[in-house]
Parts: sequence; C-alpha cells; structure tokens
Amino acid sequence: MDMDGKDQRLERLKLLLDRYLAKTSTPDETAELFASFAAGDADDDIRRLFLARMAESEPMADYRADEWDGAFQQVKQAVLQAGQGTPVRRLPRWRLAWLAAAAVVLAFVGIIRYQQAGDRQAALALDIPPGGPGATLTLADGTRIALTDVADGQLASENGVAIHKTDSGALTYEITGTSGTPGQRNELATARGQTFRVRLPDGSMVWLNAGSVLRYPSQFDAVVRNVEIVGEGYFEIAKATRRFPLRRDLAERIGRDSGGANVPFNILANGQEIQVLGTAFNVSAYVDDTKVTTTVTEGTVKVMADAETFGILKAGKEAVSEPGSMTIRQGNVAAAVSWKDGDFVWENESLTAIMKKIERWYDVEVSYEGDPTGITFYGMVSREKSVRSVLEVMEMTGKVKFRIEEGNANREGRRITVII
Amino acid sequence: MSLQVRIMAKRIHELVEDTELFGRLAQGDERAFELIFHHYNPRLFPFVLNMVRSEDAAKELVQDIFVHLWLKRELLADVRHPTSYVFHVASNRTLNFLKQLKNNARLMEQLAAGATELSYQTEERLAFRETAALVEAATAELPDQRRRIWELSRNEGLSHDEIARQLGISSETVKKQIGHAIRFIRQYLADRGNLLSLVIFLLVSR
Repeated sequence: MDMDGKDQRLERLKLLLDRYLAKTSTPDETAELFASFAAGDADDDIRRLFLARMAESEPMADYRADEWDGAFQQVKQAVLQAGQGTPVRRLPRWRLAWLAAAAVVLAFVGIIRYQQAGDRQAALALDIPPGGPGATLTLADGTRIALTDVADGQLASENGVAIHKTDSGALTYEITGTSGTPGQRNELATARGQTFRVRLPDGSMVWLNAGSVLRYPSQFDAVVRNVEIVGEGYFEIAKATRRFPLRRDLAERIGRDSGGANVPFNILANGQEIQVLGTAFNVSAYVDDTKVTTTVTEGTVKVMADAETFGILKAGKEAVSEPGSMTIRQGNVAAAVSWKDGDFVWENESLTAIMKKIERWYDVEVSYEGDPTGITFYGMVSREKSVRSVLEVMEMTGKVKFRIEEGNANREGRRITVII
Repeated sequence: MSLQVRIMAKRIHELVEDTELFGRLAQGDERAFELIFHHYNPRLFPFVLNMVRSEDAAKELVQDIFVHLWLKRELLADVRHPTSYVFHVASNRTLNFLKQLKNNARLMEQLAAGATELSYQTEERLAFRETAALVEAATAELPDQRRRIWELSRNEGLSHDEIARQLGISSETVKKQIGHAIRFIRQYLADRGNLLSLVIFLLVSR
C-alpha cells in the first residue's frame, strides 16, 4: 500500500475508534472497526491509537483505592497461588507503606494540556527549597537551645539534651530529664520548614511536623503522663508500668481503676484530649484548623473533643473532631503519616489542605486566584524536593497553575499564587 | 501519535523515570505493586471499559494487565519508560481481547445494536483471554461426571443446587466435584508452565 493509502486507513481507523468511544457509531461502523481489530494487518497502528486514547482519557475522578482493594487482592492472591508471589516479611500495612513510600516521586498525573507547556516554564522558573530537620528547645527556666546546626556525626550533650545518631543515620535528641524541676514544662518547637524527632524521658518517640509545638514535663509524673501539642505530631508511646496499685484519690484524679498497672499517656491537642492506651498514632491539631485529626496506626486511643464528645479509635481509624462533634471513619494511615517519612501523600485531598501543608513546609504564603473549592488530588511526591517539583506534579493534572515568588534572603515575600 | 500526546507522554516519563517504584516492583515489593495498581488502574479502566462495554470484563482485563506486569516484573528493571510500558501492555491486551470478541456473534450483535453494557458469560470472558484453549484441553481430561458438572457450572452458569437437581445428586457433591475440577485444571496449567493462563484462570474461577 502506498503512503497515502496508509495514511487514509489510519485516519479511517481513528474516526471509527473515536465514534465508537463516543458511542455514536452506526452498526456498520462498529462492524468495520472490529473487522480491523481482527484483520491483524494494522495491529501496530491500533495499539498506538489505543495507547494515545488511554493516555488522554480522564482518570476516574471518583476513584477510591479502598473500593478497588478487592480487585487488587484478587490479583495478588492469584499470583501467590500460582507460586509467583514473593515471600515478603509481613510488616503491618502502615510500615510497609512507609518503606515503599520513602523517596518516591511518583506523580499521579492526569492529562496535560499541550497549551500549558509554555506558561508553565515561565511561572515555575523560580523555586523554593524544602524544609529540613531542626527545632528550638525552650527549657522551663527560659533557656533556648537551637537544635538545628549539629554537624553530621557529632554527638553532643548539653543542658539535659543528649544528641544521638541512630542506625539509620538520623539524629535523635533525647531529653535526659535531668534539666528543670519536676512539674515544670519544656517546650519543643519546630518553625515552618522544620521537622524534628525526639525521644521523651519515658522512652516515647515523637515526630513533630513543621510549625508545631510540643510541651512536656521535664520529668514525667509516675501516675499520669501529660503532654500538649499544637500542630502535627506522630507519637509512638512507650508502655510505662506502675509498680504498685494506685491510691484511691490518685485513681479518681485520673479517672482510672486503682488496680490498673499502666501509666496513662494523655495529649492535649489544641484544646482536645487524647488518651493513649499504649500505641502509635498521628495527630494534626494546628491552630488555623479548628478540627483535630487523629489517625491510629497501632493500638487504641480515646479522643475527647470535649467532656461529652468522645470516641475510642482502633488501629486504622481516624477521628476528625471539634468541640461538640466527632466523625470517626476508616483512615488512610499511609497518607496521614507520610510526612514523617519525607513524602506528601494525597488521597483525594483538597487543594486547600495541600496548600496549607506546603505553606508550613516551604515557609511560604499562599494566595488564590479563583475558587479552590472542590478541587482534589491524588498523588505522592517527596517533601525532600523543592517546591517546584511538588507544584509541577499538581500542574500536570491540568486543574491548577502556580506562580512562585522567591522573596528575599529572610524569606520575606515568599509567595505562591494558585491560579484556578 | 499526535504532538499533544507526545508531549504529554514525555512529561509523564520525566516524572516517573525519576522514581524507584518500578525498581521496587522489579524486586518483588508487593507494596510498590499495590501503589502502581492504584496509580494506573484509574487511568486504564475508563478506556478499557469503554472498549469492552462490560464492568466485569473490564475489571478482569485490567487485572490481567497487572498480573502480566507482576509476572514480567524482572523486565521492569530495564524499562526506561514505565508509564509507556504499562500503557503498551494494556493496549496489547485490550486489542487481543477485542480480536476474540469479534468471533462472538452474540456479543457482536449486541454491540452493533449500540449496547453500552454487554452480557458476557464467565466462560466467554475466560475465552477472550488466551487461556481458553488450555482450560478446554484440561477439561477434556476430567472424568465424565466431573466434566459434566464443571461445564454446567461454567458454561451454563447453573448454581450448585440447579446442577444437583438436574443430575440427581447432592449439592454437596457438586461443590466437591467443582473443587476437584478447579484443582485439576490449575495443576494442568501450572505443569505446562503457562503462568499467565493459570493466574487468569484463578482470577476467573473464583
């Protein structure tokens, strides 16, 4: 066949396919299209057409990974039965999620519209680096210690803070508990663009997200452990056991059975209380958000929005609470704790919620041109990359565009404008 | 490929090439597999559904694509453009399915009449996926009674009770015989090293 004939046939195929996809084919056209499928002499063209149409079609807007979990499990089950699975060490799902999520920059991209390519280049020429580890510790006596500028490998101990290097190379700052008088409170604060991991005097681990404050006693009470958080933190609470039964008056004070053996761990999160029953969970309780979101990865916690409104959450559940109301739902644990492992994970997350996180992590002001309501994203992007790479992923969907202003050296004037 | 598509494909590659995800899949990381499934499934499914015009068939075809990805995961370590590879596999499998569909007069009639949801039977869905011939060969080697029960169940879609009534046996026996038949066919496919067929069979026969 000569070139013209080939081109004509391809055009014809394209027309037939597009009419079929639009459900406007006549019976004859449908028959002709399927005859081409069966003929076998245009397979390459057909495959290329399929590929193009597949890549162009809108991804399912209402896709929910949990609703498709059954389909995925069937695939997994089938390959396992066929002996083609891998014997993987079974970790709890949320741990697996972290492992796999680390350092991944998989963009959940939608359609990219050609005409955007030009504008994008100009708008996103500027960039802002990501945040990093760091915090400020304020002791009860007012001493302030910057926990930021510690050189790699350096181990130090000062003012009751021991700095250790863990196996994974991360630094942990251990509060040794020798500072301050009992009953006095220390305050650990991350600025915007800072994140931090700390081991408390009782052995509990806390990861603080950007723009958060953790207040904890310089020495923990033997009866009850109380800490306070504003912002977002991931907690892994160490079990602490009392040696003797409680005195009745103390039991009443904390509202527990005097025979119990565990020292409860309570968290005051932006005014709401979380009682921990030996467990790991994430809490997001920023001042600029009246709601507190608690996502449990292990064990059980009790969330109290106020004296009357409370709920008990088991692993995998998430409570969104504000005084007077609480919603408990199946949580997305991987998404909730992804920040701690250096990722943004969005599962149908609203544009405004995503931009709030970007504000905190990249220390920028965000403003909108247009209405952001109702726009959501799926995706996973590393937080360790600059802001541009995150915004580019969002632009790929064609839902938004961004303009970055870098500001001056003191980060003044750093701004991202969301154009809808 | 149009200019638009080429540019789009390029953008996707830039992003995904940067990832470790396919490398992890190549190493057999199940969690990476799960992430890839949920990343591509919402992208593949609308097109596949529109082509095969059946929720069930589309779902199975997409599962089939992911099974293929898993079975060939070692190759992925060398794949330079994972997204284009996934779409390529999907295009290929969809075309193979449609080639088979062409041979089915009943369904083609429905299609030509403009049906938006085709009524595939289980056996037909299986037949479109290259597995049919092997399963048929295995079925032929089943003992008579077992084969009869298997065919009534799979080809004619009868329930255990209906088969029991028709053959005058207990539905418990029917259930057991079907279990034996499935195990036999599974072994038959496994022995012939046709893993994809085996997995497809396992998917459809549940």
